[in-house]
Amino acid sequence: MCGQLAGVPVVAMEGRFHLYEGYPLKQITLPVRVFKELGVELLIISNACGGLNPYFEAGDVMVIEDHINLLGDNPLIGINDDRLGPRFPDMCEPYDQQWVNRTIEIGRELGMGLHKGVFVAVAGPNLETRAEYRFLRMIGGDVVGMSTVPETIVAVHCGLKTIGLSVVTDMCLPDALKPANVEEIIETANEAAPKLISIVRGIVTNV
Amino acid sequence: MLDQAIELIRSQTTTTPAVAIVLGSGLGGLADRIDAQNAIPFEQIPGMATTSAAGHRGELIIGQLDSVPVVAMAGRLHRYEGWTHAQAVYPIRLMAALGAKRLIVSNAAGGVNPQLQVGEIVVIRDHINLIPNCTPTIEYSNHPPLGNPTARTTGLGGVGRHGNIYDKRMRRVAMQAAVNAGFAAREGTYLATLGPTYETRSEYRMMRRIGADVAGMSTVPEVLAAKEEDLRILGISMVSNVATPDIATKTDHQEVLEAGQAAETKMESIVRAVVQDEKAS
Repeated sequence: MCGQLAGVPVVAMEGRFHLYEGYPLKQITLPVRVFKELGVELLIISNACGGLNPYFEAGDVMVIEDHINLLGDNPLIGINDDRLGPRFPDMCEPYDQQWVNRTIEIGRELGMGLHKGVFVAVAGPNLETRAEYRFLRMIGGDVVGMSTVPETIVAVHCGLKTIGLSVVTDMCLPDALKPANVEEIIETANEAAPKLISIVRGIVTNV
Repeated sequence: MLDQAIELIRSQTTTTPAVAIVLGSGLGGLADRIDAQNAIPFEQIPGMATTSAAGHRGELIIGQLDSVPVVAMAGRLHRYEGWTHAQAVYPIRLMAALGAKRLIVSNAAGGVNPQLQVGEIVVIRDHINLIPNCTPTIEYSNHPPLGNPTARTTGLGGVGRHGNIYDKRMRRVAMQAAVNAGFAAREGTYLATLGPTYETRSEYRMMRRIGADVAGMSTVPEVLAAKEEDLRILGISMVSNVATPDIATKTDHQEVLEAGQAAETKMESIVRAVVQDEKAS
């Protein structure tokens, strides 16, 4: 989908693919390569996730500062096309630090307190056990989800700055874990949609 | 396939190697210092895949190192190149089938333990494997490991629970070699990841927390196969870059290669000492 948002030319993907659907990562991340070829300078990725950090609440938005890849896979596996990027991409700053700070500020201007933190990617499709949530929290995760990291890795590979936005659709506190209610999760995601839209609009106007 | 490979190699040399060496980062130069050698390009060996990592060339070298018969792999196969586990460890099966009883494997690794510095050598005492699918194909698991027909096999390749993957004696000799040559070496835990991306800072913090000293994208698959083949194993890591998760610092592959060159003499002195030890075995 190509058009204008707040006067800025954008290209957007409505809907995305996930590893748990059985698609290979190279296929899932192909759109990112296309965006780069089209001349895009900034990639905004959003996702729904479970909250691990006890200071978060359902409906909160977290700006992704860093990630931990527990997918057991990587979209760059295979022969490297040197025209597209390096064989061993450095990952010390997969999410642009300046944009992280600007996004938090944008949130503040819009009257929202955005978090920042670490996104852990797992393959899914099952949600995690309590022991797994404890483990994920212990290793430094603030939220957990089943997407985004493949796209970010490819964005880093081809030199595309990335902003990641996670919507906490439910809290995953291992000592007080409620069974996941899909309707509630979807409801929370829908309620957060306008928040997310205004953040994205704010980012785009700031480019 | 393995039989054809052995046939080809035997047609060129009758040397039975005592030690197998994977010449990973830091040991590339050793390839040229193996005497009376037969070098067979990977492309010529039935069943073998070819390498692409910069700094590695693809040859199987059979010869003598300080009068000890050895077989060395110049160039190795990484999972991040897209090879399956079976493909990546095929050379280990081959070297075991040729008669090697000990394996020395080297690598360049990121220093996770904050005490480590670039250029330091870590003698691997244990590992944490985060590379998925390090099991033989279903097809393969119906046959015993080809280098050792009496080794016990389970569906997962017979590795089982192990106290000691990394041979105590070989480690001791390696540490002593460092003392004798006057450079810093310590024992540590190697954590294997899939790659090819370097780690994020959060991933480094995680690795530190779960007990890794160094992290890299190789070695463990070969070690698991070597264990199945009942080889005695030494792993050595050269710290090519240090993880500083609290300061975003880019890792440069060129720097990694340069650090490898600098650590070559250290790695080589360890390899020679370990090869020399137990000369008859």
